[in-house]
Amino acid sequence: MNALARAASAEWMKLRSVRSTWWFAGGALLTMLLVAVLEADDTARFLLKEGRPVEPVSSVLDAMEWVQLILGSFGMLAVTAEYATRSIVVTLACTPSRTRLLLAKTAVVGAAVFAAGGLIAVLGTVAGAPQLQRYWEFDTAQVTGRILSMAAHLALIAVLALGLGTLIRRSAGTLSVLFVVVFVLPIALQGIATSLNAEFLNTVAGFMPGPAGKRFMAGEPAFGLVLTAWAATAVAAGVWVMRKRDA
Amino acid sequence: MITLQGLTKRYGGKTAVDDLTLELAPGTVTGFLGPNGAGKSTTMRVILGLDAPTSGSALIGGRRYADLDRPLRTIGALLDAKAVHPARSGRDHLRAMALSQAIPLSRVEEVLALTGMAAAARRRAGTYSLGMSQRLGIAGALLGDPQVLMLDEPVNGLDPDGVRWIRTLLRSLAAEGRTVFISSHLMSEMERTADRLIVLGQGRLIADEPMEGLVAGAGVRVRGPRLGPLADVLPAARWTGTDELTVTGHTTEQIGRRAHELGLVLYELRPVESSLEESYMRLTANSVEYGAQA
Repeated sequence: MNALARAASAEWMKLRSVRSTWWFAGGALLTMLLVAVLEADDTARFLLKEGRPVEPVSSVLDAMEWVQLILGSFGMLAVTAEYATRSIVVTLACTPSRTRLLLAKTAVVGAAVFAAGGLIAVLGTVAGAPQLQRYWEFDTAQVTGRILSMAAHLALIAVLALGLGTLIRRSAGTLSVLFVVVFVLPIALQGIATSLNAEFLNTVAGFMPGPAGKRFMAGEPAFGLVLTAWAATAVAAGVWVMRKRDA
Repeated sequence: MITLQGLTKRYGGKTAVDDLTLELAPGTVTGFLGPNGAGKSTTMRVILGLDAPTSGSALIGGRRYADLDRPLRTIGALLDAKAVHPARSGRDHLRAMALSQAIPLSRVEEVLALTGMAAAARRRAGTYSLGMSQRLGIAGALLGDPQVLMLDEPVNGLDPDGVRWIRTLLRSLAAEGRTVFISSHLMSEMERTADRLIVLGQGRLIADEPMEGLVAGAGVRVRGPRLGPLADVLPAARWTGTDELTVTGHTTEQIGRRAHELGLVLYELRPVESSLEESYMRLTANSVEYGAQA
């Protein structure tokens, strides 16, 4: 086994051996089911009057706003929990290469959230089915694409949070920054754009992780690359800082 | 083997380790002593590659820690027994370490048994006492069956049985030809465990001597009702009590003969060693950074 695979297997062992991992997965699923059912109900009542078709994943997309914060926190904890418990000392003694360590964490967190996120999106779609199926046009290829892009979106947000966590080290600070970057900043930019009549700020806002992710999930794959760039930049910055800084 | 060459570490303007040059040889237990803040832990952190040296180098078997492929197979270290995720069981903690080094998981059970942690291995590490955490940390250090062991305050929190256990363990590891490097505040424990002592004060090397050199050679204690004539003929004698002389540079035989020639009655005649604690206090007297101000 090469060094990266060894580091990744250790990271996976660490993730699955703490209960919080399963709490996050359960919490994300519960949130998804709750929001998806409520939104589906809402949508169905609206559609009864309008009589228009709907995408099968529409209510799941609404739940993503919340689920991404939960799974983002999970991704962040893969690093910040190590600093909080000082177990980073043991981790770095086992895997002294900071680059390798963060790549291993990124791979494990990304894969775990992709798998869990995909499953959660499927279950959310199923949960909304009783209310929505009368109105939806089920195109298997399209729905599969939507679910995969949602899984990828969640994985990328988790990796973005992991990178931010490496930069900031502390959970509270990282969560605040994540919240600002994903939710607050785009809205603020749009507000400024309106008051200054500066259209380019709207464009900039559209390329922030939150809005870019939304467009990615709504069927614009190019915006998946934008989100990937954000996540990759955060991890690369984390590697850079970790290599320069004392543990 | 650990080699430090002109190792210096500064944090901001504060020098934690100052131009430290050392070589730790296989087959010996080297004790690392010094007041709080003397730079012992910093030295160990730099050896492990956790903190980068400001200048100089720290090598293990000729290589930097970061360049070791599976480091735990070369050097096992315990720096902070409580640095474990409290929600993870002791066994899972060790398993993650083993996976990172491609060490078979059966070795985890071996070190758990060796450290007496088998029964507690399923419990979450957050429920461990300090002594149990130390044992888990030592299990982690032994995991890769390394040639070099480096332990920061390993007896901290251990009960008397545990203290004796670790002393025996460290002695036997050194007897197998391994390099053992331990820091401790417990002078009496160090005196019984270490072959060689390195004393650090304010980041600088104060002493680097074999244990015998530090504890021996304090002289001969002579007690008797009338020792004046003996003190007159032995210039190296000094009064250490109303009826007691301490003589350096003479054997008990020589002193006994002189006393007999002078017709003196002796109650006591024995070689004395200064304790390690006395030597240590003498050596560090000028470098106690956080000591109580008299």
